[in-house]
Amino acid sequence: MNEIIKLKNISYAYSNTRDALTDINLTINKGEDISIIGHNGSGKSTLAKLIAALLKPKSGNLYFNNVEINNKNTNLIRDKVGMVFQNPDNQFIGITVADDIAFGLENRRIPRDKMSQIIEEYSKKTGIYELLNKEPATLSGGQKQRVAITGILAMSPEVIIFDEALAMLDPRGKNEILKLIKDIKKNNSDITIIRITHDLDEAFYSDRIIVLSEGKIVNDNTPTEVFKEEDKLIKLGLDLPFIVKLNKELLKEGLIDKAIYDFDLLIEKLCK
Amino acid sequence: MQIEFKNLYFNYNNNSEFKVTVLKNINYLINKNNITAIVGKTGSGKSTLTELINYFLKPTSGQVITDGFISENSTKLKFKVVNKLRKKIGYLFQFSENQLFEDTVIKDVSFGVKNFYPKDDGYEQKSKEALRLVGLDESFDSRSPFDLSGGEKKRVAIAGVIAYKPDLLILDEPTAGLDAQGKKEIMDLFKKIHETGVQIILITHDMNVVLEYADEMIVLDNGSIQKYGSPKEILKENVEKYNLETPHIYKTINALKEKGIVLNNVTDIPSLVTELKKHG
Amino acid sequence: MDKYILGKYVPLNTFIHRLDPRMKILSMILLMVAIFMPFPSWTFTFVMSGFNALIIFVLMLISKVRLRDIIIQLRSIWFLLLVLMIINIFLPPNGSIHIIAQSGNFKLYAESFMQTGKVMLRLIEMFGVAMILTATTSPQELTFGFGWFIKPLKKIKFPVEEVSMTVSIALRFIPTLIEETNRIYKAQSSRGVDFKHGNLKMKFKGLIALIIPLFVSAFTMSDDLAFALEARGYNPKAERTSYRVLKWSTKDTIWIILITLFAAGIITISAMHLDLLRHFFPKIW
Repeated sequence: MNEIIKLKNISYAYSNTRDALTDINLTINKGEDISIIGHNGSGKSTLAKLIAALLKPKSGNLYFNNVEINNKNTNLIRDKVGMVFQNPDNQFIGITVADDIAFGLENRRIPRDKMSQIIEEYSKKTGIYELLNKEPATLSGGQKQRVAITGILAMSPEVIIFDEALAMLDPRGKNEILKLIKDIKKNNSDITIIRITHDLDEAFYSDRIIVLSEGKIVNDNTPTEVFKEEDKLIKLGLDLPFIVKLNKELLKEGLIDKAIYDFDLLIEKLCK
Repeated sequence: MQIEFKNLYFNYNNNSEFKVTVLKNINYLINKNNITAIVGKTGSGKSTLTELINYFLKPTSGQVITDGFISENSTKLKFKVVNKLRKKIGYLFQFSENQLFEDTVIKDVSFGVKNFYPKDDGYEQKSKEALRLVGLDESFDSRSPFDLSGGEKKRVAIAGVIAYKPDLLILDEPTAGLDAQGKKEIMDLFKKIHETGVQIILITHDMNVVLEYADEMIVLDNGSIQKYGSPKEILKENVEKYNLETPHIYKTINALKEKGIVLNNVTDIPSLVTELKKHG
Repeated sequence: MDKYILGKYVPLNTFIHRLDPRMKILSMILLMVAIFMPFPSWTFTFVMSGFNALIIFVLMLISKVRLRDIIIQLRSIWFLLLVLMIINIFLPPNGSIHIIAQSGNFKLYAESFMQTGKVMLRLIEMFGVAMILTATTSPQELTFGFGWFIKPLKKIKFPVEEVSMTVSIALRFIPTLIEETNRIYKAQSSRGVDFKHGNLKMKFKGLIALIIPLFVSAFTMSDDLAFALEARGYNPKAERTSYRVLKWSTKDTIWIILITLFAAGIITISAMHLDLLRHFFPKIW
């Protein structure tokens, strides 16, 4: 597999406090769907910003497509790594939806005719074409996040980071965005998805989970493996997804002989 | 505390072409010392309903009677009267951690007590009791609220609305953005506060929280009450048409039911497994 | 929301809403000049003022700005008008001759009232023009329009684009900040703060309780925004293209010609220093 992002011995500290992140080593491969989980304050959002080169590490190196990133070439990351932030309002820059999608394109000096074309194309893909002339105050949280994602897709990114992008949404908005991420992945399997989350139900459906605690990586494995260590997760302030808990109990009582994490398949098995 | 909504209507911008009807013909009586959950999708009028209780808004028509205080469109409320009601209600807004402003935690918690009971010099004692109740020890009293973590700030905000000993606590999305443990801790805290005799009205999107903590629920959709009653009864049915999420456990029961396995008396995973075993 | 504030955009789609903001800004300036042109006699001044008012009233009808909203605006300055009237009574305008009443040395001139009336009329007209502009032009269009007018300043190294971007982001975040203010306002009210009544100390405390959290929020917001801007590749020093372009149409040309003609007419008449009424209708006078 081709590695797309690599962090080598990265540490970070906010001014005059102890390290927010200590000695992070992490390699992310092209096309991976990876979740970085941890309780509130574990340093996961800081890690996301370091990956996106929005923060500069205190020490250590960041590589993107095998090129070391320094002060002069952050544009390599800017052009290829998009980031959806937690607060839907505070990242909405344009006065209307169309203006917001255009913002990144304007920064890259795309000519106007082409810009309109791109905006039309991507807003149709993400289902916000009808909203192009709306102002943010009239949109729901889910719609605003959809706009943010559209603005990123319009740049044809290689990596999209979702920095707790679902945390402030209602269940409906959450499901909408989860489905949209799934669609993005389906249409382009090369795209790398990084989810920063404390929602383990969300993390469960990625390929790989990185567990962060007190600024250190404490686990890096597939979801099923990570969730086997239930006590450890609970100690970290995290909770198992419902489906994992259910499987655990069913296994214990001998109602199934091996874990089935697909809800429909599990129900079918139970009915037999 | 008895709260009654009588033929209640509420519009925003009532006298202009941008009129928006938020609530229509709400009739409901909350008369028990319960944890009452108000649920509904974003924009269904949940917060409008609770803001009417606290006199932040006035009905367009109809009445809201909170503990004998009548609010209707023609009422001109004197501030003293309003505050007589507000001192009985602790209202915790969404992102309450952002409302802190004093230079020490204890001063911030005392703020409400001093406003409502200016002649009472026991405010410090009351504030300390509130802080201990929310689980912050003495070492927090003289710290600056701005140096605290998000979770600690939230606790200070909660202490700030329970310190003046309200009879009713209104909570607007108290668990939004919290991780699993934070959510459980804060809901357990509210349960503890409820057990000291404080009535609670809870606005939330999280049906798992409703199922676990609420005694009674009101489902709002399109500005009117669609359903009300016990969460266990309501959430069992299909609530997705009101844009609510069925709690995981009921999703499982319903899926099994569709395949012909009908289980009763299931409220959590252990009881589900027990019932499944009985079923063979 | 029942009260209109000067400068509030009303999102309708009237004919005037669809015109180019540059044309509207220019027209506003021209109309303001016309409003403030002096004329040689009182009668003539009032006739011309009435003529201006008529034109503005027609524009108000087209753009659906209501007279009521302008009157509401005036409510906030009636005190100023009162002071003006008192000044005019005690310091009558130059050339006052029509004495209405006299008591000892003090003479009450009709001109004092006419002067006040003239100023009031002009103010109403001015409010009218300003409200037509702001009610029919969204803040971002206004920014864009003004941005176009200050473009030549780039030659003297004035950061035109950065200023436009700043203004446009500020405008974008006004509703968000208002929402935040409302939430904090309610949160502190529910803790017993009386922002409206109460004594000075209470009000001051209330203000602090509002302002500090608002600042904290604004800082968080600006932090988030800075990250968002950077993540999306914004560089204030770099050249950018622009998605929004202003489209000047034939309609705009026709309108600007009409308004210019109107203003030019008024200015010419004023410059002639001639009481045209007396000139053309000597018999009546």
